[in-house]
Amino acid sequence: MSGDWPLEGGWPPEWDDPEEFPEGAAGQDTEALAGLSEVTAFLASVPASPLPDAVAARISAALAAEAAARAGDPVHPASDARRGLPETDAVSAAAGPADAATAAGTAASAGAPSPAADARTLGPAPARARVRRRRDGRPRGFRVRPLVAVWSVIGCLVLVGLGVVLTLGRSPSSSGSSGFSAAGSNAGQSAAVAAPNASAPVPSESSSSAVASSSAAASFAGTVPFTVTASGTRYEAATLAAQVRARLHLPASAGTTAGHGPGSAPTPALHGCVVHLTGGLPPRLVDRATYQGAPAYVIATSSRVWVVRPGCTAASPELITSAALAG
Amino acid sequence: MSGQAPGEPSDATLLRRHADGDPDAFGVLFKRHSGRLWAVALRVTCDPEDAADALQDAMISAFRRAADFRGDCAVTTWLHRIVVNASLDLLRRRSARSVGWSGDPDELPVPESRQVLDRTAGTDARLDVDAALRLLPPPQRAALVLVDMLGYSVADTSAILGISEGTVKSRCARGRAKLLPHLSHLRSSHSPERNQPAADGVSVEQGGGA
Repeated sequence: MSGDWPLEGGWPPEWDDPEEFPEGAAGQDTEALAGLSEVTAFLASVPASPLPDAVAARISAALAAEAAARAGDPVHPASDARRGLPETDAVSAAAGPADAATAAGTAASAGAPSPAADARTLGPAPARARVRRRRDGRPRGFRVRPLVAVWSVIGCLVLVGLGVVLTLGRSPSSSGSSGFSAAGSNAGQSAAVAAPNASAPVPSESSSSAVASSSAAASFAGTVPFTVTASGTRYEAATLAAQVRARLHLPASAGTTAGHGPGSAPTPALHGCVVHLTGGLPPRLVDRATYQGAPAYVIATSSRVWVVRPGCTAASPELITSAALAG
Repeated sequence: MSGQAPGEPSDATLLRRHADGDPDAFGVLFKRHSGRLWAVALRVTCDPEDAADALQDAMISAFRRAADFRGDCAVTTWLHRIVVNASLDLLRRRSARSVGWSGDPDELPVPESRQVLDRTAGTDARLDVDAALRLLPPPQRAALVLVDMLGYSVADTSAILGISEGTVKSRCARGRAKLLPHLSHLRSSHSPERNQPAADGVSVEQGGGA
């Protein structure tokens, strides 16, 4: 038995038994012994309160959040490295109430393993819970990924620094953030993913993109340009990845949203949501459409797609599902 | 508090599936034992809010640490241990902020969440027992709750708490002796009807008769 807190040690002094109770000490007094037996019998007969539905729903929601976080882990390996919490601290911090109304019961649903692990439909994950991840039990191949992520982040930071230096060098008079936001192309903002939101997932593209320093600086300043299309596509869970891949391969004039393609500007809330989900990478698609018949935004990078409810924000991504776009 | 029905996967199977990435397995496991685990958390913390927090902490911890489970004990024992430890951990954190108390159960404030409960005879007894249990140091309370209130054997309790059977007996005996004067008014008017532990993973044998 392992993996839990030690029971002994670190208690307040008043919790400790000063000495072992001498067994049978009460045995010399028959009346006292009878009294102790009565106490035992009485305690055994006291009924236990049933688990309240609200508590069950709350815990199910917390577990759903954990499941959602775990489902996103393989794509966002840097999240654990960024978190860096000792396990006991993470557990101690885990008591925050989850959004029982929205995600209740999702994790508790019975059944066999999901047939489509990369396209699970999960309840929205509370922002606080999403950064707490299971650290154990990954397949061996995943153990090296934090190292890759760390090197990616370091590389990104170096590139961002280089971008800052070059930008300042080109226009010495324009110091400050305006110098950052003025630059920018779609190709390279992935370098700035190191950025700011500790709970934001890091797209896999971040380590491989060749990055223009000026665009990195632009992303560093939080300006990720994209537009929102309203294709009205009816996305379905079973075909989500294929539908998105098909849309990504359409010419820009047909409505893809990479960079500054046709479409409307996102609201600040949606912008924050997208940046949060992509980790600062410009999305290749932000499409107002329906998913399983309900209104939704479909957000995609080259490697992953997220489906969120219309109220998606950075603080509350309202994630419906997420899937890889590999291949 | 439902147990494993015939044909359903065992606890160990569910835990292994969870560790392998099955998104639903842990939820099934939680549902299966939630009633029992709640009872443990509630009795050890003596407060529904604290019990809810402790149970949530424990379940998240178990969710993350499933891969640590080596199978050298029953899954239920492992889960119970995590719940007890989460409860004690929460009480330890609370104790740093607690104020002094004379030890008189009558002076214990009853949480509002419990004041609104139906005032049935059973509830009254529960309130008094809760107040009396607060007299005990939490580790002693945990042992007494597991053995006397939830019906676990001394051996099972020893495994759950990670202490020797002698210490379990000792804590139970001291606890009973401490509770005796505070429960006398209830004992005379109560019909004995023992609680039984869940059958899976822990024995139903009574113990702790130290």
